[in-house]
Amino acid sequence: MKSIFEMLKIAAVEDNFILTSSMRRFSVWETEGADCYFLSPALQRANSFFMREVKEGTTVEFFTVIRGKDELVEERCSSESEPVIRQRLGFLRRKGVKKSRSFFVVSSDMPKSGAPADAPDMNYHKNLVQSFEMNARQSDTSEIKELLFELVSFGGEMKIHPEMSIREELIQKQCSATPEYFKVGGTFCKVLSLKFMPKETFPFMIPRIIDTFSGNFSYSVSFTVLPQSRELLSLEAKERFYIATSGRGAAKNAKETDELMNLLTVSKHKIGFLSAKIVVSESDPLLLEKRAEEISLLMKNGGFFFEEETWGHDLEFFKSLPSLMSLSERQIRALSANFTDMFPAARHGHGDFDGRSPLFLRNRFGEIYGFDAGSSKRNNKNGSVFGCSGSGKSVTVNTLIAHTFFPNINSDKNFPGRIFIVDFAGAENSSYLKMVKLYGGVFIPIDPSGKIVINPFPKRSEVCVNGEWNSSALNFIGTILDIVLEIREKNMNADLFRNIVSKAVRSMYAAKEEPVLGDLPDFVEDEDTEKAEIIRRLLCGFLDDPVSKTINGRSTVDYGKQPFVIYDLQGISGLSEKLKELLTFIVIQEAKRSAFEITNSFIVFDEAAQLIKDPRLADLIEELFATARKYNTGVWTVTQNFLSFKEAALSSKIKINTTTTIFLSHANDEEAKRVIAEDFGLSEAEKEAFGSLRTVKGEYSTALFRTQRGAELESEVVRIELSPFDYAVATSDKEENRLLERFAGIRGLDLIDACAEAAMLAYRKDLFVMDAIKDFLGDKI
Amino acid sequence: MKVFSVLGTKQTFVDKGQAAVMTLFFFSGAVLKDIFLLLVIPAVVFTVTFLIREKIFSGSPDWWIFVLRMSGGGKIRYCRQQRDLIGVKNEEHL
Repeated sequence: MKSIFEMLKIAAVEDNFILTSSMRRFSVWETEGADCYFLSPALQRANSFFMREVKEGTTVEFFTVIRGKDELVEERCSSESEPVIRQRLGFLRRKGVKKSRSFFVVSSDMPKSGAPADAPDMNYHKNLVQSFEMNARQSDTSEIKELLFELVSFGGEMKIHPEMSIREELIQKQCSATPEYFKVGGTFCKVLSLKFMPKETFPFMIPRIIDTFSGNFSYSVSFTVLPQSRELLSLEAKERFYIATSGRGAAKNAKETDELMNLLTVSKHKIGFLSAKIVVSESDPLLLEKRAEEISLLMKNGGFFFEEETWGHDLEFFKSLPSLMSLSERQIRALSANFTDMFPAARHGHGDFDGRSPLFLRNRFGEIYGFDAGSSKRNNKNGSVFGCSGSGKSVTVNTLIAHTFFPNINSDKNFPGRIFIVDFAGAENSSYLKMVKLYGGVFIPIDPSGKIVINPFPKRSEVCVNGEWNSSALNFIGTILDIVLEIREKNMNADLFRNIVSKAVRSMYAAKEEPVLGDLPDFVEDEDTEKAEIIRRLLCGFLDDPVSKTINGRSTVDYGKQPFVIYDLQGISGLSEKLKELLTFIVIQEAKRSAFEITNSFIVFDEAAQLIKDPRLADLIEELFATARKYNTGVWTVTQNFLSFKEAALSSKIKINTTTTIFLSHANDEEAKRVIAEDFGLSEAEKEAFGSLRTVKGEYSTALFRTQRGAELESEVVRIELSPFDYAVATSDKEENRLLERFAGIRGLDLIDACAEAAMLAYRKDLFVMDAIKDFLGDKI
Repeated sequence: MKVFSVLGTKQTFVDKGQAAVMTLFFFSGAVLKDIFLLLVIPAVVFTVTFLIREKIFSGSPDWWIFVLRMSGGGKIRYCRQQRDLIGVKNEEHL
């Protein structure tokens, strides 16, 4: 039997370094990588460092370790108390959540026989790493050991005995090797080494190949800078040899050598040994074969030919580890610029995955992504959702409400907030009515019948405090009365009318604690009796119109302690544009007043923003977006028709006051896509991502999340996949909801429990949740 | 950046396997005072193993390990029972 320890040429891990058997000290740096998908990071500084500052004998290695399990998700799943979030995490775990980590490993030591006497040049290591312009943090000894243990023993718990050497600490599982694989404990792995490179390399080409691969693997590439003078001499000798030799191949090689020597003279790129390896690991040997073949094919499509180390997986395995790659005999001579192009780490968006109450999703790479509507890392909690009909907009918004809005408003049990929704769908078609039925709420239909009254006049205490008039409140009242009385112009005559109205309002407040619109005509008085009479007659004319009942009188709205309030404005659709706009505005202000009063709330406008065309009203609503943060409130707009949204006076104000924008598929509406891309200043990469969004009903939809944290904008494409429970909760389809209610009725459950039970049925029978319900109901449908 | 294939790959002139076999014949020749064993056989061994290495094992200097493994066949089982004596500066830790 052979000893495994001698195969691992690591002597020690101490003082934040790996010390190899050849006495080279390697520092390890964990990095987030660079966003090469939505930004265009350049590697000029890194290339420049290699040209001008790198020392001969320096070895730089890049590692990316991908695992099909995310420890953070595992921990959160076991510790999460909120059942909705817990079931969601369980669902995503079953789907598979990838975790990716990237590292630099650097050494500037030459191989020696004795321990190095001088201290390592940390500034040099740091400058080299920082030249890549990515956030990188040096790993300490325990982190390095944890990384090596993960790579050598494929995880598990690292238990050590004080008498163990570092190699005994790292190799803690039984190892065996066959021609086809190397086995460590219960994990089978294969090592693939780079044999041929493509004709050309370009920055971040590797992430674009490997990021889509699902499976456990690690990718590593190393570069050791060779003595340049010797390499140049060798090149010169080769050139002379090729020139002297006859044949087509020789002429081609001579030309290439000449081109290379000219390039090196001008650019000072360094020549070095480049080695790249992929270690694929699985717990099943058949799956391992399949994965190895898949990744080999993926790399070939990118121009990189990786071949398996048949008969030698174990040998090469120990030469694929951090600090040991330069020991491999599979080295290709390449330029430093080719090496920097092979950097594998692309930064992927994860949003608020560590937030308190996020909606957990997976980004397009299969890694965890979270969106927490209450996150304090953004400047405000405002957001927008844009999606065409059928893009899953209602389901997405309902999912956001159930997973992140609702837990956020209940974060303080003593002072819960509320979710206000301003919608136009009507009781029959409202996609939010389901939330009311699930969690409890109030549905308030606004129509000209006067059954519901919203008094736009605040109480005296809000308008006049200690004899001081609140100019913002007076401005608001003035704007409403301008619309009622149709005073639109900005000229002296119009201002004279406004003065009379303003005086009347003040007199009314002086006399009345809680005035209503009907009280106002009695206070209209002025020296200019003609104008005063006109105003009185206009007011009385408006008050005679039945539609005025909705805003004339004490407010009859009673929210109780319900968490949801839906103002439905479908009833005003038959009114004139002016009145529709006025009533929408008053409803929005009512929502604002209530939300700000209780704080910690959300207000959602579903298409409502588009009704606001008057710039004065838009200015007042903009104040809502701009000040919501002070009241710990988030304002969201949901829009299906972007082109008409753009025409609304509010659209530009919404854009500058929101920190989250969610784009859903716009299917084949090329005009809308073009306008959105232009309006939001989407980069080419974002445009491409936006154009590729799609929705598969009942399965998933992809969305582009754009979130702003301070000055930083993070874009990521995420998959909105719903578990059976999530789908049952979020569906807005009338027929599906009818079936759910029928199911709840027969089972004698309330709706939320019925959704949970339907989900259990779906899991047991391995059916889509609605199919499971139909199956249960049988003829009782 | 273009990849220049003229740069080539890392090549080993004499690997451990070759060195071991050549040394064996060299010392045998020295002991037995046979010039044939001392000089000719090592040269032949070098040439043959060089050709085997380059033609069959694509220049891999571990070719001799693969030959031993192929002839031995079966699974290699590693042992973790032996104490690991690494003999470097942290010997005091042992």
